[in-house]
Amino acid sequence: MLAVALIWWLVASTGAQTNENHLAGAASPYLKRASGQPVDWYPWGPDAFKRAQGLNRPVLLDLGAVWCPWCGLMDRDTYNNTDTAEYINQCFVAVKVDFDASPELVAEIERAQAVLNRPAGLPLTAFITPDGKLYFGAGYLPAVREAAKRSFRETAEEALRLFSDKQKIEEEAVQLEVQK
Amino acid sequence: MIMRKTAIVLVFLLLSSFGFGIDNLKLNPKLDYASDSLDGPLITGDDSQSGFVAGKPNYVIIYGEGCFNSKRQARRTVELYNKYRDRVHFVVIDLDVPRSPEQQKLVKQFYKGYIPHVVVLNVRGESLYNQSGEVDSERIEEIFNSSINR
Repeated sequence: MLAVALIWWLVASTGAQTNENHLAGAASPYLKRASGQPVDWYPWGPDAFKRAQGLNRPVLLDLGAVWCPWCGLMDRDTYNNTDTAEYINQCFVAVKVDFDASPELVAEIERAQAVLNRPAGLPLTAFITPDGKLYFGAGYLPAVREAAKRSFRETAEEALRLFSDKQKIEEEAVQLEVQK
Repeated sequence: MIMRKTAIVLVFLLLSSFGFGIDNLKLNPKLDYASDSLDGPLITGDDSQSGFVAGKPNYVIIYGEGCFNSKRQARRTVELYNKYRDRVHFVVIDLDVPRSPEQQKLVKQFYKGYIPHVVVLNVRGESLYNQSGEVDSERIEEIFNSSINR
């Protein structure tokens, strides 16, 4: 009986470890809600950008709120999809920001995306270089293409292509002034 | 004959420098004002990508389509347009679609990161109101009335 209980505890604790990303323990309800997602989310901060620099990958930023239905839809259909999550984890460093928790940061990001002539609002999906230049972005992205609305995967692939064009990024991207 | 042609060219140049701007503004009749549903562009009109036009006060709304605060401000915007269309130039900037260079100038200059965002400019392009969030029509009308013909 004791052995069975021990095995159950081991399995349960291993599962809990693998199912939690870097948002575990976050105070923000929006981040907390995503802590069990298969995407390896980081909160905004130096750890995420250091990792992006080390891996030479763009940062995928999801900016949303618990009260935003389109954010909930993206969480449910896109970020909870294991195939999509695996793709994100292999190609990007994923960062999630709560609209309600970081007003100055949010304004900076929303403005940067609008200045870049990309959609702004919520949810906001942005692609940022490891040194903090916002170079591409979108709003709500469905898991599967809907008529003229490109899917998350198509958009992310374009972001990866653009990431290799360093000259264009240098000319057009918007440097975020916020402290990383 | 030459004078007549010259006059036509001069009138054309004058109108070009002032711009024609968006006209025939209409509110999307399918808008749901109680939710963040995506109902399409909130406001439609002719030459919807126009930017600042000198010679009149300008009212600028910067909005997102899936935002019920933007929808409510869009309704006020069209009501204001119907009342002031001859005296105020209206600029409608939809952040969900690519924008013209003229509109991007306004975005870079005034947008603070939250929607809806409303700007009122005097005839010289100086800001009289520049705030995020919904704003009562009465407040905007006060600004219009104090700046028209000045």
